[in-house]
Amino acid sequence: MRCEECLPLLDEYICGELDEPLSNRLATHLAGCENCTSEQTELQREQNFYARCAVPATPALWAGVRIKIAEEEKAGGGFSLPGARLWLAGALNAWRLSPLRATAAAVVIVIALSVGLLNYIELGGDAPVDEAAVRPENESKEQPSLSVDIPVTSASDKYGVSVQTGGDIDVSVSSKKIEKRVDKFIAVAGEKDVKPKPRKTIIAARRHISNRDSSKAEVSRVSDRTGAAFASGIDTETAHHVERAQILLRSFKHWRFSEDEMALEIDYEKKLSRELLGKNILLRADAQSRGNEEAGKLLARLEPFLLDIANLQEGLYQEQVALIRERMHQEGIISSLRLF
Amino acid sequence: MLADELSTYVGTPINNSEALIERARRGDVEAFNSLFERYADPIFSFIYRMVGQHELAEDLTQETFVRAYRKLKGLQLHAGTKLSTWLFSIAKNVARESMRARLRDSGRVEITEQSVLELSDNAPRPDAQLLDRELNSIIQAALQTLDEDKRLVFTLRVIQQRSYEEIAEITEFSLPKIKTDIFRARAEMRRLLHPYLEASDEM
Repeated sequence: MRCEECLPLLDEYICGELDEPLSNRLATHLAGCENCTSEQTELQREQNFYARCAVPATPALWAGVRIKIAEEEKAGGGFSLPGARLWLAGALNAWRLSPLRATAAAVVIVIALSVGLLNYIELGGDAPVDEAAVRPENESKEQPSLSVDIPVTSASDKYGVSVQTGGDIDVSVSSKKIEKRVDKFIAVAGEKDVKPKPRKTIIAARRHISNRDSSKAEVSRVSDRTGAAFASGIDTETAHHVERAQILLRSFKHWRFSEDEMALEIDYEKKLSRELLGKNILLRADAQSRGNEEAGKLLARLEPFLLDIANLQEGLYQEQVALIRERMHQEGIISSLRLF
Repeated sequence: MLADELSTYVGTPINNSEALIERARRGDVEAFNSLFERYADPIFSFIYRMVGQHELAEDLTQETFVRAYRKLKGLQLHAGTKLSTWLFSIAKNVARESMRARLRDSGRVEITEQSVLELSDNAPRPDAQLLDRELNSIIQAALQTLDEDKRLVFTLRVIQQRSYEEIAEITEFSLPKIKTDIFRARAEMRRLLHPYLEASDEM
């Protein structure tokens, strides 16, 4: 074995990762090569040096993980208000991110609302709603119900698309029932022969989820979360979300890439933007329903930017990024986020 | 944590942890806590070396485990796959997202300029006492001078002592790239840290 063969394998040799024949060949070489032996010694010294630098985790970390898991479980289990909102936001968001499906979704929503969506959800479907199963016996009609109002508007006139609709969906049924209904809509949307919008079009749809009665609707029938704890958690989450969004937009603002280089970066930024968008919809709805005007307005301003970044289209990155940056500058969105 | 303890569980094939994973999948948080206790230190250490800030690394470690819990249901158990490899993959993504988001925002502000300036070929050899106190921050400063890919593979290989195959799985880099990056990163770290490396013999 020559030194050129030996040196790149020393690291694996020291870690015992080489197979026996190769390891033996290396050992033979090392026995007669001062240069490689010296390098072996140096590597071992480094291994020892870095091994001393282990940084243990703080035991308290688990508490934070446990809390977040508990929050997610609450959000995901049964018919908890945040869970239903998160699910709806995600479902609607998924539609939005595909131009074809978004258009189909908008059309279906208009049709569905016009023929009486309220009745459809309350009475229709393949599995009748067992009201008794989801509503306590002593619950009157005055009990709060989650109301989902979904106005869809264009974020910017320059994109040339404007879809306006709205309506109330009374979802005073279990989350499972809601899921079935929306699954049906998705199926219907898929079957519709809807002509897709031009690829260059960016539809910046805003979906607004609000409570008909915010003071009562804070209290989910199933959730045992108190209003105060819920509000506190949401405020903290909003602050964290705004911080992340600010970082994303700042990063976006300072991009200096060619189209090719940008293509490599864009997937990550789009993915992050999608993630933030889903969260933004949820948090904005919560802020607005709780009367937190400042947070609601800020998140409403942020949403079109997240949406547009999430929808950046291959081949048009430079042009679209320039447009978004210009709007960011005009609207001073980063400053607003920083000041929040 | 002792290195031999670490190696005992870090390299545990995923199937050996199957019972814990299955329980965690069914919502048994105590089972997930056991998994957390096994892997929290190496994951935290890895993230800390990547992002350079203790507090941020703590947040990102928590995020890593929350994501892991969320993804457990969809985890495919392949023979020979290690749970640690899967967790490191998640941790890598979490750290990378954080670093990218901050990179152009504030530059590499995690390290003090002074600490980098102190890292030079002609720096005086520090005494052992200083080493004890500053070793971590010096290594951290040196690591932050590496580009992201090199820091990633160097941390996994040299500090976390993962195999090349595991690193390839975690990073999705090719083996030649990994080896090249490690070679270059090692040379750069050696250049920056040689006064400390020499002093470490006397410790």
